[in-house]
Amino acid sequence: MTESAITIEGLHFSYGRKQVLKGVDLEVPKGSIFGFLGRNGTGKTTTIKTLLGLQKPLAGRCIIGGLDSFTQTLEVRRRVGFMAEDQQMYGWMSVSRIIKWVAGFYPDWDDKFADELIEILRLPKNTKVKALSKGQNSSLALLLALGHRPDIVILDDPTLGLDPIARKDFLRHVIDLLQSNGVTVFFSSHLLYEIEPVADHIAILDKGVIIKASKTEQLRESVRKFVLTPISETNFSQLPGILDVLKVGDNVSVTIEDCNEAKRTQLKGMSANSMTEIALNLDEIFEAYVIGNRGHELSV
Amino acid sequence: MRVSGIIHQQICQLKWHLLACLGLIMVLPIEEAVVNLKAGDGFFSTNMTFPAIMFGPLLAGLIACANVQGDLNEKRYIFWRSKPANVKLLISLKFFIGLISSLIILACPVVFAFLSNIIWNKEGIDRMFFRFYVPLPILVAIMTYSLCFASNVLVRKTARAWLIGMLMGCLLLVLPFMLPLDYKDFVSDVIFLPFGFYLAIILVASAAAFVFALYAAQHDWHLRTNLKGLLWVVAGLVFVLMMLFSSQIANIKVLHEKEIEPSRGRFRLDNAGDSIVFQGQSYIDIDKNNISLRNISDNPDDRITYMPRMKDYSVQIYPRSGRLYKKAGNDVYSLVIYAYYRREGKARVYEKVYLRSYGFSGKSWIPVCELDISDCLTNRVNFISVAMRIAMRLIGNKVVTCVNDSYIVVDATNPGELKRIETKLDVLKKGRPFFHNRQKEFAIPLVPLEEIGLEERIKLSIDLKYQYRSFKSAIHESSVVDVYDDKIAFFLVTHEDIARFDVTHWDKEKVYCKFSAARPFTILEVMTTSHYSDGTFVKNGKLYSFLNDALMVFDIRSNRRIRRLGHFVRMNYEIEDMAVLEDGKILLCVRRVQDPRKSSPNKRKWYLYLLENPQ
Repeated sequence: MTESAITIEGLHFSYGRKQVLKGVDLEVPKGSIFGFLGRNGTGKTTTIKTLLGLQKPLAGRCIIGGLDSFTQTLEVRRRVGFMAEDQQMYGWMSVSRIIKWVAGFYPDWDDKFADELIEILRLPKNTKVKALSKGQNSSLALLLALGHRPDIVILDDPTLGLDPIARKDFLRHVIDLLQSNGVTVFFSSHLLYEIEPVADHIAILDKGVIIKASKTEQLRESVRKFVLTPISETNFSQLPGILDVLKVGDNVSVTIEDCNEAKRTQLKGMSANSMTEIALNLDEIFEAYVIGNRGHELSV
Repeated sequence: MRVSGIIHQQICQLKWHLLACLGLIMVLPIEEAVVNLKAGDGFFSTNMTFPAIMFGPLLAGLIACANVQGDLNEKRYIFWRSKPANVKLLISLKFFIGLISSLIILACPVVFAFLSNIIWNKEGIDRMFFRFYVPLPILVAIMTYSLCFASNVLVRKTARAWLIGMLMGCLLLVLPFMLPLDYKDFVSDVIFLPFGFYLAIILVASAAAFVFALYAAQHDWHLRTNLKGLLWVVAGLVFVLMMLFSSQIANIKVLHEKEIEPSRGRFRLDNAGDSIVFQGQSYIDIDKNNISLRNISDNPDDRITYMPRMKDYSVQIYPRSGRLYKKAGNDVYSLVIYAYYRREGKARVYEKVYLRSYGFSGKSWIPVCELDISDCLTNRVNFISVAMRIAMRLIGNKVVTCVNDSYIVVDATNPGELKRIETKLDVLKKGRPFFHNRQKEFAIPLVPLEEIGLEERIKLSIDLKYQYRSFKSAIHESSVVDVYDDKIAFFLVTHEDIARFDVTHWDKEKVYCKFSAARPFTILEVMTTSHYSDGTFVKNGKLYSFLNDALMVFDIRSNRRIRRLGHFVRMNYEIEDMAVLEDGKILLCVRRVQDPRKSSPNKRKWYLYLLENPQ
């Protein structure tokens, strides 16, 4: 059994009357790059804030690196590197000043490593933070999250607002710096194509609950789309593992999870002639899970 | 956590705000110093220091908001909170760095005033200023700083937090007036006391705000405010505060109001033993707080009409308005001094002076006795065309008359037969002119009469010096001297304050006095009345001061502080005269000042007001 870097159990949280998290359960394996997916406003940031002990959950608990994030908050923050979405820092500080300021919070801050990161991320030391570009700002935030060599890094939509080139550049740095060191990366994003190349585990959060959590490759293998011409009086909603059904001309495309031979045979029985099997990318899989109609809106 | 780094960061974060606040607070003192320098007096500031430090609490609130606002922006908050920072320590450091900075800035105008006065001002600095005026704004600033800091941690919007903090501060400062703590006078109860309750409020509120801020930051408490709602709350609180303030200037209860018939000249209320005579015509009766008038004469048109004339001579009368009444058994007499003069160019040449008594015949006032006191005219000529000093006071059964610097004591046991019992001509030594520096001990010439007691002589001497006005003298009916617990003190009212002077000792010729306390007027009191230099007298341990539309009553029994007990204001009314009744109630005669733009059939109206005497 794989050891967990992060464990979330039955997490509930609400902002006033609005319940945001309705029992989130999650295991993040040690050393993995974990993609935490969800649409905007589904509770990704809320989960991360709770994970870091920044807010108290209504119920449930979060364990990071064996530490309870609510009772051992300071210890957790010492061991975790965190980069928030659209991170705002003190604009009037210079890059070197803010690094020095943040270093003051960590007893095991690695100045040498931080200097290396400045070189790698090509950060101008004496420039004021407010004068940095968005890409440089993200790089600086990454540096500040990594300077103390954390075991676990939590990145909350870190590329938000970056242009495609800067985004790729940033992700390349993340991979280079983290994957090789065996650091666990918990990466939240709503941009599937940026998670797909880097994440080896995926969890999809929707309406306050985890609707899918699996290895990325396994997910790709198990979710399939079939295009077929349905025979009359076919009710796809009865199909086990059905995610989405869409009518395309005379044909119907059916997306199912945990695809196996039995399900293929069952689908063939619903088709008037031959059917086509298509492998999906993560974007399409996410779409099927989150906005798929489960066959309810279409029966032939 | 590296504390030095946080301190450095905080100072860097605040530096521009601090410099801006320093600039703001130093504008007035420096401007005054420059003006003084231009006038050739030296580069010092005195008067503008107090207004400058009065801004201190406002600026301290601004510094508090600026101090923490940069860290509480939602995204920046997550940035530093995600680091292993000890929130309580961090917020505490921020709080105290900001507080110390605020106090340093607040101290700048004071230090500037102090040093510049020591170096360049020959007259030196008023120590009262440092003793009384400096500590209060500084203490209030500590409170407003703490409240604004806490509200900003909670609200996280600078302007709103500042507004809320200031409102809370105002509310806490007026709290003692809302609670039944018998705090009536902001100046004497707050500034001139060792703070007491206020000090407790300020310190407790500051400490509570600090602790609250720590918890709010620790637990990420965030109150989302609605600007419209906040403005409604502000309006409500301002209304409450205004009501409280107005209760500070209109807090003497009116027991009865009676409209009276119009008359020529000012209305007068005169004491006649145990009763009050109104306008020389009626007694005023008070029954169960109701005012009623009872005519002295059956014919209400009867007046003192007998005023013997001398051909080619004008007459100066004392009392100029009103009368000095004396009761003898059931009879009432009125005493008047007549001085006859002729004009030679601009000079007045006085020829004759008479003291006359009038008795009431049942129908009208008739002269019953005349005493020639013209021998008082040792100096008959007044070269400038002003009235000669004439005054009179009834002490027991004796009437002391003063004509210029001469005195005559008359036995008035039977006012129908006035008898001269003592004459002192040209005896009063010239006193020093009105003092410039009241802190120094000074002497007043003592009236050298043997027929009246020492205490009364001292009172008369002081009143002749400070209560006498050529155009309106009330020596015959009132005094500014209070005798309590064998101590004699007198009170002078200026534009700025009420000052108490204690009689320290006396010899055969002089009474020696020393300033002991002062009670400055608040801005509100100054705004509601022009000044209090007329119509001031002392009775039964209280000082009554009235002019135009306002009356103020002060408790003067303590030699450490003068405490205001009540304030009566009626806009557009003018107080013409007042009297304090035997039971302590106050009787006012007021005239409604008409608006000349309005044409009303009842153009003028007069009223008698019966007021409760504030305790």
